[in-house]
Amino acid sequence: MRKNLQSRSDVQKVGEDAAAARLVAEGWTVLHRNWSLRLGELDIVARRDGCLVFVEVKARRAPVYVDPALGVDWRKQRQLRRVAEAYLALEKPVFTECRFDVVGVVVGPNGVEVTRIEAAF
Amino acid sequence: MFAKVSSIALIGMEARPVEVEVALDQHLPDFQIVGLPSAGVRESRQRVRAAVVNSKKAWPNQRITANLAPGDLRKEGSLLDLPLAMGVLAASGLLEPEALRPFLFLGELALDGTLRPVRGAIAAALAARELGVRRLVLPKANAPEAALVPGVEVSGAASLTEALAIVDGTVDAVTTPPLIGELLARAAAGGPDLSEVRGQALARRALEIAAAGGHNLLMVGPPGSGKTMLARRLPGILPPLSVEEALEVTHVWSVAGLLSAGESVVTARPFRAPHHHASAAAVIGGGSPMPRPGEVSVASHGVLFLDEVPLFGGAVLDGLRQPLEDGFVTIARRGATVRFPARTALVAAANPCLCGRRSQGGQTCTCSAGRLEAYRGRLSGPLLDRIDLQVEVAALSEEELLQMEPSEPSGVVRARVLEARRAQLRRTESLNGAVAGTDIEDACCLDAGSRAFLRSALADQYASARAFHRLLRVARTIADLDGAEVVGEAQIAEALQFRRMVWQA
Repeated sequence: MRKNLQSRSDVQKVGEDAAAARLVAEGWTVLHRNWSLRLGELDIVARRDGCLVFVEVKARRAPVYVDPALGVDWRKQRQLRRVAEAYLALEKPVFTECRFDVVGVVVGPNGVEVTRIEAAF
Repeated sequence: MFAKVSSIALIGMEARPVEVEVALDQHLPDFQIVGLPSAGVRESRQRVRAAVVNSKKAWPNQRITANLAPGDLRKEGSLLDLPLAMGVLAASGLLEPEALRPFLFLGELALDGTLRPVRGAIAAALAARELGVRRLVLPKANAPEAALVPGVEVSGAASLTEALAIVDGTVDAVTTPPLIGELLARAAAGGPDLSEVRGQALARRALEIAAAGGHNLLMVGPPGSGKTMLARRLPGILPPLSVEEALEVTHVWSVAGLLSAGESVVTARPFRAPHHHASAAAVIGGGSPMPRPGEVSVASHGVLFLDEVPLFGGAVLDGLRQPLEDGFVTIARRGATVRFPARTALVAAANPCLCGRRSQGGQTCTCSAGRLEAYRGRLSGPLLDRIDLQVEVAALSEEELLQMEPSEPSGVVRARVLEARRAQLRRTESLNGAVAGTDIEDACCLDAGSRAFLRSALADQYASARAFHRLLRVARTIADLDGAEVVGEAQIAEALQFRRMVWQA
């Protein structure tokens, strides 16, 4: 048993915070965190200039043996597309291009490691 | 946000114009192709995306809709990769959509952005000329063949990046048209020589007559007697390809995907020898949904050699009747009816029976009468009717093999063939093998003596009008080889040797 044991939702929260911090550092404006409907949730919605990005965060506790981003399978992708379509319809954002990013976060005892796949699907 | 690119769809020997329209709009990223693409065309989405990304160009994160017009024509194959990529890049603002207007594109993309050769480049060039499109951009390997078509500026691109540079005008890659006449002259003669065939004087004579008159030939003889060896030497005694013939052969080979990369024109007469298990689609042409040329078309202006001809499928042999008669193949499909040229010399070879020992001195055939009849019956009468010449190729004894002097070289025979062909073309504008029945009678100018001789020769067996005309055609060719204006008894007597008896007896 490890001392700094975190619950699953704690890990996810840490991961999403780390992902959002990374986006802000890169000049993105975070529009929404955990924008959700019954159909699902968008972890982060951000924009920079005309580009709108839907970010799915997958966080895992260290040690990991596979890339956490691989957790976004085709079923999850389909679900995210549906939620994103709903987002476009309800929020009516103005944008020129838009994409889906997947951010993998490994939460270790000495900090977090963030990897990002741009335009993942 | 919108771009239009010209391309083509290959329908048989022809290319039909296809407009590739690409639109981008504000929506979730997506890439769809509409306009009756086949499953293969839909696959090009992945290739196009990877090729664009690996060419260090930005892939638009927008909804991409590509439309292939006209919408009722089914699009096949991978040649739309390049136009789709150009359309996407133009629509995303990487290049001016207007800049694409003078071009027609085709080519298959590899994932790394290089261009792979496609079928039908000549057809595309012809279509471009007809459409009034001035410039054609296609894979480098296809450029030489497309450049055969005058009036279209052809640019070969090795990759997507190079295609973009051609559009920008930063690279000038216009392919110079090949000098067909020079290529043909340089390719003259070659291949196995007739002098290597020992003995077989009758068969060699039959080969010469077949070459001179454009007659189809059936050789019957035991295994190992030299039927294949003889057949392989027929292209060498035919006259060299004319420019028009070379263009037609090249066009068919281009559509069939047989040209090697960078090959501009087929310079040697084709020699095609499909195995007897070949399907009707492979020999006659066919395939679904868009038919492709078969061996009979690929062998245009050359030789189609069917070894072990009775073992070919009935559908194959009967399917050959119409192309042998007409010089073209017509294949009808729901979407389109296409026509491929099929002006070829048929050389068929067969063992005399299943065990192969019939009619060979000293050895006995073990085939029962029933088996022999069944074997012989596989060649239908109508097919045999289209074969003017039949000759028996006997096995040589060791003595003959060892003693024979080398026979006449191909070059000498070819000179006679050329002379005989010239005489025929002066008279009827077509070779004797293709002259209609009644016309051949006129061409023979038989006198009363020859007529009487013919009558007595044919009296002892049933002879149809068609068999009679076949005999006259061969006699006419023999006379042309002899340089005779009129067909006399000597020519008729020789022609009688090449009659159907060989197979029917």
